[in-house]
Formats: sequence, structure tokens, C-alpha cells
Amino acid sequence: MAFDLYDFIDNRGENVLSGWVQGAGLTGRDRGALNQKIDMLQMHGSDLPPKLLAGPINKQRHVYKLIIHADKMLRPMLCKGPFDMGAEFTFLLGAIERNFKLDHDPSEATANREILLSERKRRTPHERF
Amino acid sequence: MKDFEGTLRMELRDKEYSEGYAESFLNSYIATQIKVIREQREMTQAELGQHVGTTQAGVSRYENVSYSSWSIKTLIRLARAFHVRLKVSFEPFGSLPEEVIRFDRKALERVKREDDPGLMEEPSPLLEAIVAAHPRPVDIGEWKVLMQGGQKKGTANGSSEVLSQIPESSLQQSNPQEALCM
Repeated sequence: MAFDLYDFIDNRGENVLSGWVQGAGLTGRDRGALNQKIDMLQMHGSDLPPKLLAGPINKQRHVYKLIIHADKMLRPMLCKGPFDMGAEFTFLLGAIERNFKLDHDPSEATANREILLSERKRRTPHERF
Repeated sequence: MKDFEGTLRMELRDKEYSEGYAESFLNSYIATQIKVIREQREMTQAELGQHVGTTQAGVSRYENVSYSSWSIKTLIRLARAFHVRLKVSFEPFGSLPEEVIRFDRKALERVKREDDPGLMEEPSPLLEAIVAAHPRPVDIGEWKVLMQGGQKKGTANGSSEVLSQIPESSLQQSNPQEALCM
């Protein structure tokens, strides 16, 4: 079964994940590893590939991290649904882990999810990098 | 899916990108196949751990798409526990899109050596004819009945039932009744 993937749109109308990828200085190897995990999520969801998603993150009930070990430790944050929990995922925020710490607070992802729940248009089909 | 295949094929022309994608896919493939075969064998992580000389937590570490510290020694131990062989192979990047598309639970499952059709006796023309007449999967019990003359429970002569399903052209070279009583 294929899943639908979406990216959150910020209050300036920009795709948060695309903006993150452009600004994070990812190498080709980072992009390859990132797209591989995203492809797997899109094609198989989170049940078949073991531990594809980590979470829910502490104190953020609906936020998961996609774990990518490449040149950088990429940790894009996402949620299941939030409208069709069994058929879609929405990327909420890009993040990188350094010394076991994320460079963005997961509560930002929760806030973006809350906005999305009240404004359904604040997401767009996932854009491939 | 054709669009995806084409896009990925184009992306893989970038050397660094292709290495990142392929290495990540390799780790995902190994971890997922370990989980799929363990479940196919109805083993717990702890039981598999006992076979390979590690703990439940050790197996849990292997069943993680982000784990990348594989050794051939560990993989051979896992292969022995699953009653399959380990195959390690260098491949060109161009074959990757097809592997990505084919990846699913069914494609990752493997039969045990006890049920391995490749280890059965050399197929005879009669066997091939039986296979051709049974496009659906035949279980091992049914297979043995067919090869031993088709004597099925409640059937006076199961071989005639079997023969009726085999194309005549396949039986012309030998006496089918004799052949069925191998």
C-alpha cells in the first residue's frame, strides 16, 4: 500500500521541509539517504521497515522523527495523518541532531501540527529534493 | 511507479547521491529481511538471539533500518539460524530502482532448507508436466502424493485424476502409469 506524504507550509507560504533542505547544506550523500528513507515511508509506511520512525518524541504525543545517518544526522519531524491516520504522513519540521541534541525543539513540530489541524490548507504534497 | 523509477534512475547518476541512497537501502533491506524471516519462522527476538549468540536487545539492534555495523560473521550466524544461505554481491547502481520497487514482505521471505524446492530430486519430464498442470502452489504433502502415484485419501486411483490434468503431449515419451509409480 502506498501512503500519501505532505509537507507543512509556514506562515510565509513556504514549504518548511524544502526550505530546510536548501538551507541545511546537505551533501549528495545526505540527500540520497534522506530520499531513500522517505521513499520507504511512502511505499511501505512505518510497519514493514523496522524502526523507520522514532517516537513519539518525549512530551510531543504525535511527533515522530525519521532517522537518517548520513554525513549529517538528519531528523525531519513528522506526524501520522493528521487527517487520515492510516494513509498519510505530514512532514512538520526539518532538524539535525548534533551531540545527541536536535537543533530545533520538537514542540515547534507540535505547534505546526496544531496549526494544520485548524487550517487544512497549510500543507502541500511532499516535494522531492 | 514508472515515473518514480525514471526519477530515481536520473537521481542515481549523481555519484554521491547514489552512494547515500544505495547504502541506506542496503541497511533497510537487511534489517527488514531479518524481521520478516524471523516472523515467518515464528521466532521471538529472544529465540533468534539464542541461535546467534546474542540477547533480545542485540536482535532488536539488528532489526533497525538505521543499523550499519554489519559483519559477515553476524550475517552468517543469522543465515544459519534461518536455515538459508547468505549471499553477498556487488551490483551496479542501475539495478537499484528495480530492487527498490520489488521490495516488499513477500519478496523478502525465504523457505527453509527442509521446504526448499531447489533441493528436491532432479525434476523429470513428468514432474515438469505435473507442475505445468498445477499452476497454483502445491504443498509438500500434495506434492509427495502426486509423485508417489497420486494415491489420495478417498480416491481409488489418484493417478488417473493427476493424469487427467497433465497435457497429453507431455506424456507421450513414457508410459505414464509406470512413470507415476516411481
